[in-house]
Amino acid sequence: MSHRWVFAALALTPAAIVLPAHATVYMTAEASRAVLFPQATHFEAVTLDTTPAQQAALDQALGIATKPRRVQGWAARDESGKLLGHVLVDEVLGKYELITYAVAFTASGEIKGVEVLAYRESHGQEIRLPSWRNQFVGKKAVDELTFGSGIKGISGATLSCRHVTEGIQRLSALYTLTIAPR
Amino acid sequence: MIKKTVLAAALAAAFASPAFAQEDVRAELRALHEEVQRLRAELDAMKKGGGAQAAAVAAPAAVAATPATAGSPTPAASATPTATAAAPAAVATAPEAAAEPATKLFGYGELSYSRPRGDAGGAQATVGRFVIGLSHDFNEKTRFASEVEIENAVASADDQGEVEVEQVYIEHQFSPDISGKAGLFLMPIGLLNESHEPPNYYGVHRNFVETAIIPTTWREIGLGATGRTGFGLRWDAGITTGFDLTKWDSTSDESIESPLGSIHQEGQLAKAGNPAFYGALNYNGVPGLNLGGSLFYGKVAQKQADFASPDASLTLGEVHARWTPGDWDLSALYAIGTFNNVEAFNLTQVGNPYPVPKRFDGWYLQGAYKLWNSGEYALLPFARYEQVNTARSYDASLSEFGYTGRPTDKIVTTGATFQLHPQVVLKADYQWFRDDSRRDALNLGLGFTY
Repeated sequence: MSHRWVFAALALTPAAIVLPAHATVYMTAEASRAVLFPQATHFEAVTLDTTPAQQAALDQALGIATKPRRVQGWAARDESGKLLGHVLVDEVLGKYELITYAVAFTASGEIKGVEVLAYRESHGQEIRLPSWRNQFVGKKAVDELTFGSGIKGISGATLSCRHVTEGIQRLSALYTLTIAPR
Repeated sequence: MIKKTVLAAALAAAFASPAFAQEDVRAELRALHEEVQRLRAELDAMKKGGGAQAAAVAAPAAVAATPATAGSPTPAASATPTATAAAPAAVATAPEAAAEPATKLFGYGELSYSRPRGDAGGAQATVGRFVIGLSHDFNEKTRFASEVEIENAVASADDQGEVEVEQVYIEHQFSPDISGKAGLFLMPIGLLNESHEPPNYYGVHRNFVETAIIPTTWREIGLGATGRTGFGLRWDAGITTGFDLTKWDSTSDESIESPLGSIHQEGQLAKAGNPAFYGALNYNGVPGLNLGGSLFYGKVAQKQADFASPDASLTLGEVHARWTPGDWDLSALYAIGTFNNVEAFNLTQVGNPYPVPKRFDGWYLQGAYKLWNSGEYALLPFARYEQVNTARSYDASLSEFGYTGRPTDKIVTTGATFQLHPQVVLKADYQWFRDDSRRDALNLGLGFTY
């Protein structure tokens, strides 16, 4: 018995020191899924890992080599058990800091909404504005989700906007490759 | 905590066990003690191995530690740095955020080659700026940020380079929409000053308006606040140090190249007798569009006893717009500065070529187009037209001595940026000075930000 307590104490000690990170957390992922799918009554956890073949297809779709990366989220269902869509949570490096966001996909794979969960940069909080996030709604194809031509940036926060756009573009392509065929 | 649990175990054992079992308890305690020592050593090694590594291991360990306390038979497995233990609940707290170190390194660099037309001897290559930035998050609301810059490669008593602290400030987030900062920070004035990394602007060199009229890279020591509204308006306001007109050298070319650049203080033993104030508004409510303006005001005699114009003041105003429809990137900026109450000082400088101007101003129009891109490569040709006058007019009292406003410089810059990556650019441009072709130049540059 005492063994376990000692281990637990040791495991938690460093965690308590290093876990806090500078973050303006606007919303938890749980809160975002309810905002993105208000009519959903339950959510099932999903984890997306790519097979080597899927990874190759993803890189081909995006036109750049990306690293395999696990993405987690939920499938949203209504009372009758009907699939409404999915919420995927991911993060990208903005300029120097991580930006965490949630993307909702309809059952047919179009983007239903984007929520910024945490933004840690000094500049560019404008990506939280509905007008910026709404640019993604209804889009699906890689081309539509290209930074610059498909999605506009924000002056002074170009890198943050670019990286979030690329992150969402990747999630959309990942969705098409992994969830859509299911 | 360790002592307590060990003690509790020992006490429990002592009360619960007959005397002959004490030997076993001692043996177990010894084993436990050795185990603790071993784990401590491992932990120390982990901590020494760097914050990132420690954090990466610690974060999943914390997640896995919960089942361990609930009775997992193999607590050692909790140290496995795998995300599989992180149930969907862990998504809510952004599992990988914990792996991001609190101290970060960033910066940028720019190198250039410039060759004036028909003057091979005047060609020059330099490491214009190399900047190392460091920031540290103390907690979720308070952080420190800094940039140290080396200009022109070598700085010593015999060299022309400079080493400078470009920014060093503490930033505190009061609420999700309002933050404050204290220290040496960049003025939120113009399109370029706050985002001056080479991939963020067109042309090898920064534009003339935001160099000669708005100084670059403009920073002051003081207090500032930034806020954002729900419809896309950002506001900035603050109280800072200002310019030092007592440094004005009416015989130096620098005074006419950049009036404010010649009297800026850059946080270096800045004379702070007079506070300066700034305010800025920027609207970003429509994606791809930025409309903004700012105002800076401060007295510039800094209460220096023997200065002839103790009430001298500076007002600098600016409006800007940037719009990025499709593959276009269009921007425009107008800036105007005025010095007031400088007659007395100017009258002591009569005979010198460059008295303090009454008014100086400039504007530019710029267009860039993404002509080609493939993956992360992109080619963006651009053109910019600027008009700059660093001494549009002088006080009426100087006219009887023959001082009149200077002619306006009209400059066309055209060239292209080639992106190897959104953060790494190769640049080439040519600049035509409409009224002084001897200043025409070919420029080549390399810039990056990380």
